[in-house]
Amino acid sequence: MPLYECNEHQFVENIRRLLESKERFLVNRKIIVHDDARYGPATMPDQEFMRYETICARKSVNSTVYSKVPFVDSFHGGRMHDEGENLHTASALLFPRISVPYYRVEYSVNVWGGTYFFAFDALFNPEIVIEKRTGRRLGKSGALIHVLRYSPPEERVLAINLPKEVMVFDVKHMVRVIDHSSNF
Amino acid sequence: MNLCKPLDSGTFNIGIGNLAFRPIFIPETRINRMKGVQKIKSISVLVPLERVQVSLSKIGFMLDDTATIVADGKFWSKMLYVRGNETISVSEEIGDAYPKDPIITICGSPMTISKVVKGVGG
Repeated sequence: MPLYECNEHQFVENIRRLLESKERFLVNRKIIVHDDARYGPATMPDQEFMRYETICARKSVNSTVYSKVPFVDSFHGGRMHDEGENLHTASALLFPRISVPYYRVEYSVNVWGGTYFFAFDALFNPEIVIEKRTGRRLGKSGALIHVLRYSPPEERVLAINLPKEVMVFDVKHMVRVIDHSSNF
Repeated sequence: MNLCKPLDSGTFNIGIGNLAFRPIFIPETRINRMKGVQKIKSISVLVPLERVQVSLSKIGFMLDDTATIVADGKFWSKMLYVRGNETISVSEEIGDAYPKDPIITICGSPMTISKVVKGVGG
């Protein structure tokens, strides 16, 4: 069974054509959280990196990212980073000290034995605040420190908005079954 | 005298001489039906994002939320515009990409779709 990859424009237009042909179909959607160090501040475009500039710095895209101030990464178990620490490099992406979690969103539609899908990753939004924290390195009385938090993007902005007559089913995983019946 | 003989819901058999007495609720019903109908359309246009945003705000769409997404190995800014139960998502590549061709995905009434397409020069 063939699998066809579409971009957003192609996928939506294909659904529009299906709707106009009165063909009955179902759209499947899979949303899964990943935190596998696929995205980090070194590889982001400048516009996205600006959101991290309070705590880290780099020369340009794909340059090594260093921390400007000590901070706590609350999403990754309150991991503490010192000032001047090498956080992320484009050449050693498998071993970064900071990474951006994301949602993997996959939309697919099965028509006439073929699967047409559109997939994208939605990065979590960073939020940098100053908080009073205590700990081994911050003392018993505590100290003010930058804290990096991540919040997931809202579902409404991730969704492909479809007319009400289109049913969208959320799925966890799609298992491909090889159909041998056509060989006989 | 019976001026209009009902055939089925919303349809009336009107005599030629009675056209002046055409019931006004027929077009209203049709308008209400049109309001409820939602269609989808996606267009990719070679116009600056600013022009798209101006065009959307002119017809009453407000920015509701944004997200950064990665698709086709590129970073995109995805913006959601809302007006009532109609939604428009605008995705534009982040950075110095050339040419810039935002993808506009509309889920709304046929009238909204035609207004947006016309507004962005489609």
